[in-house]
Amino acid sequence: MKRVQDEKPERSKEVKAWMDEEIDAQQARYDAISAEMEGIQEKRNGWIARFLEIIQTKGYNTNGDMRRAITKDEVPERPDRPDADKVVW
Amino acid sequence: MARPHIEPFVELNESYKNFTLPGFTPSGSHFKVLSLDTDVGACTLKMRFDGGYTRKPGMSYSDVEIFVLNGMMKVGDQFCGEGHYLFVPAGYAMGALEVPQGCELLVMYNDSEPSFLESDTHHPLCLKEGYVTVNGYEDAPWAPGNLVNPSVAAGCMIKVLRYDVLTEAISFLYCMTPQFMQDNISYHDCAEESYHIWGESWMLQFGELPTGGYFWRPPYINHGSFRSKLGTIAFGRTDSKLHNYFHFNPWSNPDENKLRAAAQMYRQRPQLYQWAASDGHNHPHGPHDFENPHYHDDPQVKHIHGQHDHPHHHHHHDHD
Repeated sequence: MKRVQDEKPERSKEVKAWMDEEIDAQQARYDAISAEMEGIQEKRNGWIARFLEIIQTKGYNTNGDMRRAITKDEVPERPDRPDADKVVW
Repeated sequence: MARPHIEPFVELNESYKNFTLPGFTPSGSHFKVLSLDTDVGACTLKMRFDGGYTRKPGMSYSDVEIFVLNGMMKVGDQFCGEGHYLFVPAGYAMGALEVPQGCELLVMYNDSEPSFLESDTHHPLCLKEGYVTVNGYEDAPWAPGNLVNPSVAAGCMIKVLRYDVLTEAISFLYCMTPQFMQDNISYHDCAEESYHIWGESWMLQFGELPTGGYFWRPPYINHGSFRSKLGTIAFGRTDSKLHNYFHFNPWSNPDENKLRAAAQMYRQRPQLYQWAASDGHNHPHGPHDFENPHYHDDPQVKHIHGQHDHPHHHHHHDHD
């Protein structure tokens, strides 16, 4: 079943140039965001510590406002791998 | 690669560029790219039309979604003010645009790069019944977030603006009340996109997202826990069904999250899992659906399966 999208003409030189420029700009944006997110790791470590504390006391939200408190044995540990602190993928 | 993970991005810090692509001149239209599919050109733009901007009737080769952030534009005979949402199917001849005093919009090209062709008639293949026009602020009710289950915490509400019946992709407004909190980590099978119209929220991974904050988040990426101190209202979209996978491991990665999602399917939909995973059923274009026999040709379905520029050829497979 043919769709309008199937009839799109080939990209013109102008459109290709626009795409190339915006792809480069997006890559720069992605790199800047990644660097910024790596830069707040120390803060994030504090947020994670607080989160792990909350889920053992108030509990974590399992569904809506239902909560379940996590036992000490269940608390996850930071894995020893290069992407452990990665948040932008 | 499709769209990369763009999160968080605060567009208010960026300048507009003049929109010089064919069909978008004359001057008076400006854009910022928020995210872009580097293969097919599908993108989300913030656009500004200056006061006095006009454009003749015309169509795009892509489905287009538009949300009016501020100001007003006239589309044909209809006035579209703040909060107005349009879904314009590919090939749909939108009425002439008139922008008396300027406006800012989110404009989303779902299938390919921005295109515009002057025309006052719809393309013969246009699925024109898919056109949606609604003011999200005035004409759509707030619903509790438990529209999706497992659900977000109370205080996060949603107005559905469009629902795609084939993929269950949704476009919506959502809000978080002041002092909203949700103490879990979430991920989804779908890509998720959001633009903060007003207000702020906070996530464990990314920190504060203020007014003008934006993200395009591919599937299976952790986000949350969540806070909003003073509240927020935002426009959001998914590219397919939204299912909330909640957990409490801040260090799981997208591969582990995907495995966990598949393990849930293994437990909860065992027959379907076994069938799909067995030899000969891993059909690259999806199995037959007697209710929707042509779903393989749907642009959104093709898009979420990465089938770009490769028209579907009907293969014949013997299935039980």
